[in-house]
Amino acid sequence: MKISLKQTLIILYILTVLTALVSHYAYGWRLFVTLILGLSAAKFLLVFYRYMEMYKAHPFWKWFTVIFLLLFIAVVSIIVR
Amino acid sequence: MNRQTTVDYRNFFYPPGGILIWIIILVEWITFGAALMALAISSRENPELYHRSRMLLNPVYGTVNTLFLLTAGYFMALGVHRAKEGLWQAAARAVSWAMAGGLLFVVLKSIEYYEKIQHGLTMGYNKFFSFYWLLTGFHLVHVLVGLGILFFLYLSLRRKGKHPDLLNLEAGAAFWHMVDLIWLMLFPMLYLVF
Repeated sequence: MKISLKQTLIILYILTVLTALVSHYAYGWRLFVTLILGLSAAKFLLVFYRYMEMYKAHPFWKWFTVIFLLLFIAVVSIIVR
Repeated sequence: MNRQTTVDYRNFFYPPGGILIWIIILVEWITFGAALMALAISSRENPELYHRSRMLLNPVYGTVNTLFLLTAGYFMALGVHRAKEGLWQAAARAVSWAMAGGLLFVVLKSIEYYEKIQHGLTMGYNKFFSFYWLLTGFHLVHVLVGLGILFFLYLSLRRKGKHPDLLNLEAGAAFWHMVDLIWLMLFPMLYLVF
């Protein structure tokens, strides 16, 4: 299913508000950092795929981005606990 | 002209915007990613200091600025779509809204900087604020460069008869979205996680 640009924007708004709520209510939880960075990564991928239209691109660009994000979240989650 | 029929985006060398802008984007991601890792590693020395410093930032400013950039990104993407449809005036309007979003980001960031300076939270205050000023300052420079690019794209879209090459428009849009993506990682790391 391909979502429109406007639907993408609405999802991005919802994720931003959700991030703010999680940061307020879930601080101190064991997976707090992973959750916050995971929500940001979801926004990152939405912008990457829909706004930058990278769903059309060669798989290298998609895999590089996904692996970069996963590595970043994993390393930061391990360091900041 | 519909460029989508002539460019094969699946080709490794032709991602939307062209390979040159994507090399820049990857270098920028790696640079900011490394700086954010350094911030995380540095926080282990004194987690309490980083927590107290982070609490001195206002996450409402960060959240609102995120919304400004996401909205600007939406209008930029819309502008590229309109240009591909040959609707140049609509594309110019969308790019102008994208610029408005970017300008609002700059205004709010300036207010935030002013407040920090008023409270003495400058670069030398502590290590966290050194990272804060360097990372957000470097990002702000990218926003200003992006606004300059959008302004030139806007002027070329408004020109009667001769419109910009769609590859240039896509490359400018990719740069603008990159600014957005960097902020999406800076914001949680500086305002939320510590």
